[in-house]
Amino acid sequence: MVYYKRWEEFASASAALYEASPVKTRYCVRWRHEAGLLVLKVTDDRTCIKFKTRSAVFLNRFELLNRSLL
Amino acid sequence: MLLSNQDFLKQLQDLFDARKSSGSVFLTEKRFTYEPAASTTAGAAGDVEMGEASGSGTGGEEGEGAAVKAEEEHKEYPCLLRATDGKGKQSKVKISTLIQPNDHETFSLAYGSLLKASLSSLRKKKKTKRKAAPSAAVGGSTFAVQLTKVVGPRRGAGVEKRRKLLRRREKEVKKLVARKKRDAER
Repeated sequence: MVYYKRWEEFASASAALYEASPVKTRYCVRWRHEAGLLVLKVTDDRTCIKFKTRSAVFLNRFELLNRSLL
Repeated sequence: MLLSNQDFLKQLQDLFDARKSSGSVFLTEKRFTYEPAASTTAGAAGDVEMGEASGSGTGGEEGEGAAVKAEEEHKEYPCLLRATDGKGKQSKVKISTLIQPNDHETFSLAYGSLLKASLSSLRKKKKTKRKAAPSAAVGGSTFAVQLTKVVGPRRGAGVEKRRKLLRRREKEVKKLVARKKRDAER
């Protein structure tokens, strides 16, 4: 499991994963309110990339990512 | 439970509210490529087993997978969206919905606004410039952070106090350097 430090890298890596195997790729989100923690995971069951944040800055980018993946 | 889009959104809202004080909300999205049973028989026996084991309903098309994908690359697939609260035992809540390709736009609008509203406890980034270059720390500009001033006799009575201050200052400098490096990488 790889945690990415930067959003841009995470976004491009997840897009690449999805391009490579659109059937198997899934996008998981974990939200913990009391901790204010958001964790995003994109996996095609062979590789897994993750991104973790407590910062509200990523809300918009996260939403954009959601839209593009849908 | 498979729900309609509206019901899913409503229950998702409830799920977020219920988990405010403790616990998590898990959301999973994937493309829905489950084919009805007719095509699964075309695959080899080995493929069918693999399909059952994968547990997500995308099995059975491994044999024709390549051919199918090539034809339907531009086809829009529905999207399966699942949510759960991850609680064990009896009280686990599991909901899901299927979003058809034509509903993507409307759903993602509603879904997006729901998420934005619920993910409220994320920390807002403070724009205060609390850092200064460690080399220019002492004295510097008005935004410079003040490091601990090391004062006291270098020997004799009171030297321990000075050494304590020195150690504290070194720690602060180390922290600043690390922070600066981290911010430079971001």
